[in-house]
Amino acid sequence: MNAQLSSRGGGWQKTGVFARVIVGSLIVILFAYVETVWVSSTSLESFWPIAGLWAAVGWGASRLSLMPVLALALLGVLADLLAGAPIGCWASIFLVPFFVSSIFRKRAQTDRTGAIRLIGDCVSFLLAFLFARWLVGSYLGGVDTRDIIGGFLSAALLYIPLKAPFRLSNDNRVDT
Amino acid sequence: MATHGRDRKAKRQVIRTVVVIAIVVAMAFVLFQTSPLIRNSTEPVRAGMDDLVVQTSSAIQAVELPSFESAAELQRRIEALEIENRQLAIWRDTATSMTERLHRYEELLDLVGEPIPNGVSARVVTETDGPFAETRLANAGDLQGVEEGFVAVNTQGVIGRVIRVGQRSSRILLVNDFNSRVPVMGEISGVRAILAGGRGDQYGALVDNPEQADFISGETLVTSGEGNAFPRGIRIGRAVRVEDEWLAQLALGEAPVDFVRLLPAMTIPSPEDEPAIEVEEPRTEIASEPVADQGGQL
Repeated sequence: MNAQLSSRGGGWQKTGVFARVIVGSLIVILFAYVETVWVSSTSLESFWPIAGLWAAVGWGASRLSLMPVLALALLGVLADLLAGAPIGCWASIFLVPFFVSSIFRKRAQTDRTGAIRLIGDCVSFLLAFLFARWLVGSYLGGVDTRDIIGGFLSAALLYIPLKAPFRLSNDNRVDT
Repeated sequence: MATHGRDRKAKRQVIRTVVVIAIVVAMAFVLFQTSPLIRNSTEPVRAGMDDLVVQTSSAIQAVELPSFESAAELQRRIEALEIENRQLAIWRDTATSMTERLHRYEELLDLVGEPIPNGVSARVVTETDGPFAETRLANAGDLQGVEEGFVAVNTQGVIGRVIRVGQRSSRILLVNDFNSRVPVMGEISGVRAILAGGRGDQYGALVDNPEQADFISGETLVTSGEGNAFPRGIRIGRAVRVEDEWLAQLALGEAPVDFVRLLPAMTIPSPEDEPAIEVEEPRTEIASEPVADQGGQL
């Protein structure tokens, strides 16, 4: 998917930030809907990726603006309503990796090896998981790590092939 | 150029500050919702979302995919269904005759028969098995007569109760949710306890055992009806002993939760905040006083 999107000189390259945020949000909503309606009744549910993390890490890595922050907050509220979580829980969980990923953005642009971007992505997913575990555990008075780790793990692994639609700029240095 | 760079840096700082503030505000929202009063205020929004999921799910599942079964396979399936239909007809006749005999016995013994509770059958549309809630979403709601507190049963016994009702949806809190508490008793021993969730899909903890007595291993656990949240005598699982601890092996795990029956529970209405003040009716003798007398006084 990355290669396909980056090779298209026209369509995706010319797409503006707003349209990219909409496309990314629709992908996240699609994954959440499929999980709710079809996957939730199967054993796959534990490992179904939390697609909102792709948007959070991808958008934070490519552009720091208010529009993705607003979109992540709305996607978080949607996730709260679907998961029965308290309102604000998933919004804060999505905003943490967005913030962490944006910290690595500037340094990644001067790094030709791509190591800093990779480290930034890994740290973002890791901190998102640790923050989620702390927040959910604090709210519920304890949480079994096995209940939440699957979604974070699969999201982190699938982020590499699926990150292209979650880029808000055409700056290839972000992905080198 | 340098000014432009400083501006961009300042803008980044502002946005980062906004993100941090947004995280803190979101966490504050979560903190506020530890209060049930504030958390309950979001229920209408959640019920609306449940309705939306049920309706879209029903619409999608109504779309028929093209069948690639061959005519021979379809013929085999029809024959199998005809055989099953004949067997079911025999069972139906047996059930009808047994019901009649039961009514006769009840009449002979002058036994007060138990009324069959009215209820609503519904299909489970989605599941939520996250850390926050073990719930199911059924496609029957307020329009079908479902109310909050209805008891959800399947073929094996109690699976939970309705905690939120939308127009066409109802959210069922399963008995294995860590928030769930069900008063139960052993069917043979009569020992009472509270069945608490949070012990996985298969088991529930038996806590607050007032008699301090042991259950009989393998005996059926039924709802005790205390607290009036659940009707008395509905199967909910089996008592098993695991590592010096009595647990309930839940009926929930014995059969798939695809179709459920939602039964009304006997609920005690909450008292009125401000009792209605009785208005004294005007005395009849005043009204019946002859007009002529009044006229005479005037």
